[in-house]
Amino acid sequence: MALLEVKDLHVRFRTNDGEVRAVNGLSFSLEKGETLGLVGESGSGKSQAVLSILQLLADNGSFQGSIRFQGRELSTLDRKAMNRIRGNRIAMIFQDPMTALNGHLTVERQMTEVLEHHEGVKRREARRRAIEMLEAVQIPDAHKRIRRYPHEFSGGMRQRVMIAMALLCRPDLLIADEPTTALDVTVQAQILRLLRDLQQEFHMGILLITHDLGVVASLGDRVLVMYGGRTCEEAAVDELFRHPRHPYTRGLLGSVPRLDTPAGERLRAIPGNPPSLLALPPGCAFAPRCGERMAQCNEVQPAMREAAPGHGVACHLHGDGE
Amino acid sequence: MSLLLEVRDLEVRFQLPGEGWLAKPKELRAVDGVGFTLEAGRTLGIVGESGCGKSTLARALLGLVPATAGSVKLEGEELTALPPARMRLLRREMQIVFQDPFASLDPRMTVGEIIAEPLRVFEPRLGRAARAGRVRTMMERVGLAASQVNRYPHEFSGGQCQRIGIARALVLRPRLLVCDEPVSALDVSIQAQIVNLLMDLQQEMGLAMLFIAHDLAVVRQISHEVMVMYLGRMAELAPRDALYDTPFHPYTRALLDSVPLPDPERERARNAAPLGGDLPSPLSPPTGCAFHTRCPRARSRCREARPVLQAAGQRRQLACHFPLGS
Repeated sequence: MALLEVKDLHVRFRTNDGEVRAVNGLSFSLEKGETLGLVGESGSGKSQAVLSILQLLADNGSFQGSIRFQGRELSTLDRKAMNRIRGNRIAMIFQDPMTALNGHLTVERQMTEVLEHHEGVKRREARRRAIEMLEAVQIPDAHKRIRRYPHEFSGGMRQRVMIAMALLCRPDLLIADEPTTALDVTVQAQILRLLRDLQQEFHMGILLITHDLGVVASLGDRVLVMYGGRTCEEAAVDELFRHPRHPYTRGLLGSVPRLDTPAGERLRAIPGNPPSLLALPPGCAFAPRCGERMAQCNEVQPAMREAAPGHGVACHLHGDGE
Repeated sequence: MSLLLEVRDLEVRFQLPGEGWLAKPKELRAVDGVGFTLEAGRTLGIVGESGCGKSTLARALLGLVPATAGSVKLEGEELTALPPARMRLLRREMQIVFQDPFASLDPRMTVGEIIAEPLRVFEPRLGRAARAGRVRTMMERVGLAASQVNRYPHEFSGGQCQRIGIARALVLRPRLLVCDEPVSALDVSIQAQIVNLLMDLQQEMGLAMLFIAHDLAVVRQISHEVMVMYLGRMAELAPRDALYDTPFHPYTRALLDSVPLPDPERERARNAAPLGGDLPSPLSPPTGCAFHTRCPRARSRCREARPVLQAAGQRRQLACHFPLGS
C-alpha cells in the first residue's frame, strides 16, 4: 500500500476574473521512505496540490478527487479528524519559517504545545523530547536556545527549528514546500544535507515542492514535472535527468545555467510565457510554447503514457503507434 | 578597450541607533575597501550571500547612497564629490535594473510613459513623434510588441515587466548598466530569456555591465570577470574561468561546492561537507579575516590580521592568508 495516493485531483479558485483552474487532474503516489519531487514554475499548481492534501486551501478554493493516506481517504474527513493528522502523521515545512513559527511564543512553548496536543504528554517530557529534536537538527546549545523567540535565531537556524517542530511527532509524511529557496547557498547546502540525514533516520516519505532542478537532483528519488496544473512527465530521478522526453522538461533542463557546462553560450530559453490558469488551452497546456507542436496538440489533451518502465510522459510525440 | 569605470577603496558606512537610549550608535560597514575596473562591452559579475554588500555597492556607484570614502571614476571623472547638477547629467550614462519587476514600475503609468520618462527628463527637446519612435524601437528591441504601448504593468507577466525595466534603462543608450539580481524573481524558463537578452543587448550597444546576483551559475553565464564578496569585503576577483575552475579563496570554493547540480549522479557522489555555521552579523564582523569563523583553513593568523587584497596572477586579486593551491 502506498503511503500517499492522489487520484484525479482538481483544484479551483473562484475569483472576480473567473474560475482559476490551478490543478487539473493530477495523480501520483508516494511510498514510505521515498522522496518525490514536484517540479514546476509559478502557476504550475504544485503548491495548491499539496495544500489540498492538508485541506489548507484558501477560502475561495475547493478541490475534487481522491487523496488516500495510508489507505485512508482524507478528502472526506471532517475538520476534527483532519486536525489529528495535520502536524502529527503529516507535517509540513515552508519556504519562510517566520510564517510557520509564532513570533510571540518561545520555541519551547511552540514545540511542547505540539506534543501536548497530539500525544497528551506532560510538559516536562515534552520539553525533553523537544530538546532532543532540536539536537537532531543540529542546533547547538539546544537546552538553552529552546527558551528563545524565533526572531533571535538566524535564517538557517530558524529553518532548522521549523524542521524540528515538524518532526516532533515523527510524521510518516513530510511535505516540504520550497524548503531552501529563501536561504543563502551555503546554508541551503547544510539544510539539504540535514533533510537527507533525517529521512534516513526517521524513514518518512517526503513530498518536495521546488522550482530548482538542482535541489530535486540532490534530494529526490522520483520526479514529477508539472505544467498548467497537470503532470507532463514522471520518472525516477536518474532516468528523468538522463532521458527527459517531454519538450517542456527538456526546455527546463536547457534553460538552467549550470556550473558543469561550458560558460558564455546562449541558454536555450523556452519562448513565450506560462499559460493563464483562467483560460487554459483546450489541448496540451504547453503547446503554445512548444517547438515540436503538431496539429492535434492544440486540440487534444495528451494522456499519460508509459514511455519506458516507470517513466510516464503526457505528450503526443510519445503517443501510441509511433 | 577603454576604461569606463574605475573604483578604488570604496567604503560605505551606515550609522545605526544603538540598543538602549544611552548606547552609542553602531556603525555598519556595508562596503569596505572595494576596488575594480570595468571596460566597455565587458561584464563584471558580483556574487555573495545576504549582507555581503553587493547591492549597497551598486547603489554607491550610482550615487544613490553616499560613499563614505574612496573613489568612483566614470571615464576619468570623479563621481563621489560631484555637484548634484553635474551628477544628474552623468546619470544618463549609468542606469540600473532592479530585482522586483513589479515594484520597480509605476502601476499608474502606461508602458509607453514608463519607457519615455527618461527621454522626457534628459532629452526634453525631442519631439513627440520622435520620442514615440524611440520608445517603439526600444520595446521591439527587448521583445515587447509595440502595440502594447498603452497597457499598464499589471497586465504583464514578471518576465515581460523585467523587459520593460530593461527598455527604460537602455532607452537613453547609457554606457553602464547595473543589474541588481535582475533574474532572481523569475521562473527558470523566463530567466534564460532575460539572460540571453542582456547578453545580446550588451554586444549590440557595447554596454559595460555590472551583474549582481547570488546565483553562481547565472553569473558564470553572463560575466567576463567575477568578484566574490563576503561581509562587505572583496574575497576574490578573477577572470570568469579562472575563478570557477581554480578558485584561490576558500570561500569561493565553498560557494561553488554548495550549489546543487541538476545531475543526480554527481549529487550522490558529492562528499565535500557543506560549509558549517551561519553568516556572522555584518554589525559585528569577526576580527582578522571576516571568513575565519567558517573557514576550514583558518589558523591563528586569520583571527588576528585582516588579509590585504593583493594581486595573485594575471588580472586576479585575492584577500587570503592561506589561499588554495599554495
